[in-house]
Amino acid sequence: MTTTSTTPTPGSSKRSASHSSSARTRFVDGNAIKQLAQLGPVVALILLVAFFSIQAPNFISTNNLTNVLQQVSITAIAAVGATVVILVAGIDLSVGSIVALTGSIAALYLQHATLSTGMATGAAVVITLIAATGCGLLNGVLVTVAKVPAFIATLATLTALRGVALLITDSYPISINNSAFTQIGIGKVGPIPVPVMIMAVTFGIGYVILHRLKIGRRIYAVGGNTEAARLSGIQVSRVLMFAFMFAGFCAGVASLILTAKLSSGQPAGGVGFELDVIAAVVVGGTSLFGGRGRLAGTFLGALVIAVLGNGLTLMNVPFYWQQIVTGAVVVGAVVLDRVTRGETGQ
Amino acid sequence: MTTAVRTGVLDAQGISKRYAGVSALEDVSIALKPGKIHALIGENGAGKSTLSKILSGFETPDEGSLLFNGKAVSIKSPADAAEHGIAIVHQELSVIGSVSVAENVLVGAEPSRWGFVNRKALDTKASRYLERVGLSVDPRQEAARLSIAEQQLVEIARIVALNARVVFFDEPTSSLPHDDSQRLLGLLSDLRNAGTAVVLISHDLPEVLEYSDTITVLRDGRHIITAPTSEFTEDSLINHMIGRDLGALYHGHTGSSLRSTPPILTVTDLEAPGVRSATLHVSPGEILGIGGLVGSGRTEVLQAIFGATRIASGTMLLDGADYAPTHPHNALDSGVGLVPEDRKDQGLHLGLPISSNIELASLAQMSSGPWLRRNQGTKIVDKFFGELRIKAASASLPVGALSGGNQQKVALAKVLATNPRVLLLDEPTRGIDVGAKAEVHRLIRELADHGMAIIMVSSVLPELIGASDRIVVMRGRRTVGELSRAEATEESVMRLAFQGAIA
Repeated sequence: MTTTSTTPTPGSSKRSASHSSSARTRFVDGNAIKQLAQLGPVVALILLVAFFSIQAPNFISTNNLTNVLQQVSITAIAAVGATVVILVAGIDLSVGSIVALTGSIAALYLQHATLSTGMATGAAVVITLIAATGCGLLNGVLVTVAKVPAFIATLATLTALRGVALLITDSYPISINNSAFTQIGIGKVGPIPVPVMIMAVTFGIGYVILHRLKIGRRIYAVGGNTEAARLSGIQVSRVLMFAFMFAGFCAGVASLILTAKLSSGQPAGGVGFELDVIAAVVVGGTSLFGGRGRLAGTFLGALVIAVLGNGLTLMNVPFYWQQIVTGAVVVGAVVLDRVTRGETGQ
Repeated sequence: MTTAVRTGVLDAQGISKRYAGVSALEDVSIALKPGKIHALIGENGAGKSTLSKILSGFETPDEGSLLFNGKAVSIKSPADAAEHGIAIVHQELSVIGSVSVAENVLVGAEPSRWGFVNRKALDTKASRYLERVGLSVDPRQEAARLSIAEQQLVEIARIVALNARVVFFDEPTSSLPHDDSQRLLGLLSDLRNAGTAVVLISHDLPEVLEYSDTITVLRDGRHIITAPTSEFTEDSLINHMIGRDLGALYHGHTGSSLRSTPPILTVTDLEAPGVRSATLHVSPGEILGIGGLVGSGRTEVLQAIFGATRIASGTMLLDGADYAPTHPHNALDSGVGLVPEDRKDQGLHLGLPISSNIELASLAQMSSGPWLRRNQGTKIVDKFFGELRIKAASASLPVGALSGGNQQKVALAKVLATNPRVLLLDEPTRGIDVGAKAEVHRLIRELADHGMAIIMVSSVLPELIGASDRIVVMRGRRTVGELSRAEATEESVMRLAFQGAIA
């Protein structure tokens, strides 16, 4: 008995056969666990789809699935920007207010525009995106120049930008009478809704930024370890500024779709939007401590939350239950993340 | 009665302590007597701090026993220690800045009734202790607003209030100006006269010789000698602290022809955070060592040269031109690279792949405009994998999965990828195994042979002396002397590090 306990098992003797092979085996194990963690949202999504296709009438129908994609697009687009901000260990609570303010600006412009509908739409898009990126710039300045922690800075702009939106609109929704503009929200190219296409493009831009450009490496580096990034010659403030401006830009894109869909600028709209966006990022496995996460995860995270909402609605589950379940999913995702990280020893 | 051979209030017998298999203390015994100041001295890493941590309950020994007033005790936590009247004043202050001075003095012993603190009694009681240590401040003042010297006095007042029987002072004067040091040492004498056993850990030999009654010298975790202070001189203390064989680990230097090369980097009267005054120069092909005790300003000099801290005054010339980096990217652009002391927090991103780490400081070389040219990056990563013999299954593994030696090679590769002309190395072999150390030393010498100018900080004397062509020694945040290859011995380096410039 005592000898068997000290005899190495076949597995362990193989591992200790040589130093490098034992190291390699460990890496594979670590990666396997990590891959499993990355699969978390996928598994959740498959389970949800399977469940609802049995339980919810009409869940599996082209119409409904297109509907889900369309619903998810606004959150997912803003979540691309939020992913970048969270990767640099920041947070942006002001997205909902940026959406409300820039949507109001777009609607006000369109009400007064004298150009042709097509030209005016183009101008409205440009104005909205510039305004939204400017809001991101403001967040960036507060964080990097005034050195206000991101949570507080964007909490302040969450309130202040909402105020500006209500101020310039006199608190009334601004209706839009431009058929070209509303196509951004409700149009289709073939079978594919325009918002879904815009979502695909935004994720494409996000991917290029994170994995094809220099700034992407710097984003991961700053979020992973700010001091080591600085000592690698990275100008941390510039990277933070970029992240907040890009988050603003993405909020602007989301705002265009929402405003077009509603045919009006809603100065009181988008309340609580930041929580949906951050939930999508977190469920997608991006670490709130920065430096770790992927856009694919964010997309799946947004989809999980949207499918959950859609399926429960089809099952006639009351809305407040949906909120409770969504909250539980967010906590579950973070716990899963913590457990798998603990196991890989990071 | 008859068994009490030792007369100490606190006796440590045969204490051993290992960290991750490395011996930090081996079979050390010490007897602390009431009414005596017992100095504990030794080089960096000799085991002084480990011993004081064990005796004050912050660490538990692997072997050995503790006797308190002749009775065996186990001290497993600072709370156990406090119960026996054992207190420690750390190098870093533990004053709570956000509460009042009085609350700091009487923390845990606030006069109270039914759970409510009696503020008036608190303030009067605290003022009594503050008076005893000669600190005249309003006890209701927030502690954070006091100077460092004053905060230290608050800590001592707290110890007086505790009525401690044994008090450890870990380098209490290292951050104080002269006058405050004198005042503090006077207080130690007062504590002694009141019957307390005082342990003084200090690098200041004149101070130790003047104020202590007994001196224990530790070296490499072993007890070397304990004797009455009157039996020592500065020279004999230094001899006891060093006096080990030079390791054969270190690669020979190539020759003296280098010294005629004009310097590439000249630093004159540099003042920066943590540096009072530093003057040094280094030539291409030369390894300049910076010696000195931990906290003497060595790391801070490297950081200032690298632009990681703001220079307050002084001049630096790089290749004859003014050089004043305000950010590490200025330094890297000018061809100055730093491999920092702390790999985990400063040198590397442990969670990122090896390849991303190596590429991080030289992304500009691996891109056209904003676009990464990933082939270029792979080429550079492959090159350093081969040249530095980094042992890893793949460059896409996270750096954190590598051994310390391989991590250090990645940190080195990251900086070398920027093509530096001046390479700053801060403790380049800390925490890596003997084989990897030899490899790192060989690499450093090769780089110098290829014309790189290298400045290396090391706390390991044989390494510093073995690897350097020339050594500048720092003491009290100043450069205090320079030793040529021929002059550099453990004794001459230590003498400068402890005593400053030779008269």
